[in-house]
Amino acid sequence: MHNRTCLNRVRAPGVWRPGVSGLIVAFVPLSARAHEFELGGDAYDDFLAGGAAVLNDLPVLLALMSTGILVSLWNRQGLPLVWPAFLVSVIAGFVLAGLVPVDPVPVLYGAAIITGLLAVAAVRRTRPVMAGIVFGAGLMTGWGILASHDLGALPPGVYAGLFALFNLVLAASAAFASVLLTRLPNRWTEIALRALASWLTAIAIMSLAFVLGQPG
Amino acid sequence: MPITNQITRRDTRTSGFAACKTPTARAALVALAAALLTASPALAHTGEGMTGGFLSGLMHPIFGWDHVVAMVAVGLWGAVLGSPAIWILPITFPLVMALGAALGIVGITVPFIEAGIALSGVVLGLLVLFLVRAPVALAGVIVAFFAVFHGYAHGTELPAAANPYAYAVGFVIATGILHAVGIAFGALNGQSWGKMAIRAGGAVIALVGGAFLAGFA
Repeated sequence: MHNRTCLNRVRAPGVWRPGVSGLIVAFVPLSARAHEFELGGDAYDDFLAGGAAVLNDLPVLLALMSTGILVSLWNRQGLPLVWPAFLVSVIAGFVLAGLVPVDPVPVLYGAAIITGLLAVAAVRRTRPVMAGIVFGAGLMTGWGILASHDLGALPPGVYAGLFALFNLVLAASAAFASVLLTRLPNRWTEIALRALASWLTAIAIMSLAFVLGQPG
Repeated sequence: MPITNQITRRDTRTSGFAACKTPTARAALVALAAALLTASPALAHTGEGMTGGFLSGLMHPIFGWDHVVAMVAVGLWGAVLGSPAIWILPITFPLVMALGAALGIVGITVPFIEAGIALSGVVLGLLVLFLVRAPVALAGVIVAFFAVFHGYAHGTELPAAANPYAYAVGFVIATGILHAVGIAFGALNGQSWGKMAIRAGGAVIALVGGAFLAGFA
């Protein structure tokens, strides 16, 4: 009886509709913009606007932090080995954003959740595979943060600010993990970093749900 | 030495607290657990903006005893089981809890939420009380099952004025702190009288869960 009662409740169309429609809306490509940059100042103001966009974008921060932790869990000195792939991927993401319109929500949160889960699993593969993962993270975050901004439509300072902060956040999180693993070389340090990655992933999942649950 | 080799070598330890060999280290962990459990929060403002959202998320699991006992029990049971459950369970719980919260936020109904939360205290408390040594996979499934109920409750009780993103950050951190309290309490496992204390903790957790289940709390 209990089972039948619960199934009836769950099957009610009114119960499913908000969640299903939210998911559909989230994954249909749209030309929504992730950020509207405040422009009009000098080049340095543009640079700050680009940097602030990274710092104010939770899924981008989560994705970059998880990627940094993942890289250092793979290899304490691993960032220089995969950094070139990241540099290329961010630029490729900026270009892609101008060419392929996309809804930034699934792209950015997808990057945050995937990289977070990879860090939780402490994936250790060959250097090309790790470089590919980092490339994917940079491409998705670069694509999502400039979603539907035409290529070259923003001042160069904005691109420079975005590019600088992307790299700063990645390097800071990788360095944080690397220093911890080097100074406290025991298994608990790695476990703590994986637990931290699980927190980042959980925050990303909950935040995605908040975005999907918002009316309109 | 590659880090993977270190892990393989050290995984042979039977207890999760092999690293805490000295009485001082164990005493410090227990003191941390006690301090975290007895700390009383001072709240000037809650529920508004980024700070209020963070504090709301941080305090929400801590102010509900049904949540507290279950989350502490997850860490405690993990400590009883030792490696790798000691870290797999506290990693599994927040991830699945976030999925449960997502269900609540997007409006998908999950039945028997309050009963599930109360039952989690009873079941996890009994598992600790009887020092049940379940396989890690089974332990993960049990913890994940109950995490859905806790997450769902938090997802549907988001304060209207709170910043949802800050709420999520605070909420996840609070969950991790409660797991850490359970793991720290589990440090007693190495003491001669520690197992008795852990069993007593499990009994208290089961009783609190039972009180919620029976409607006394």
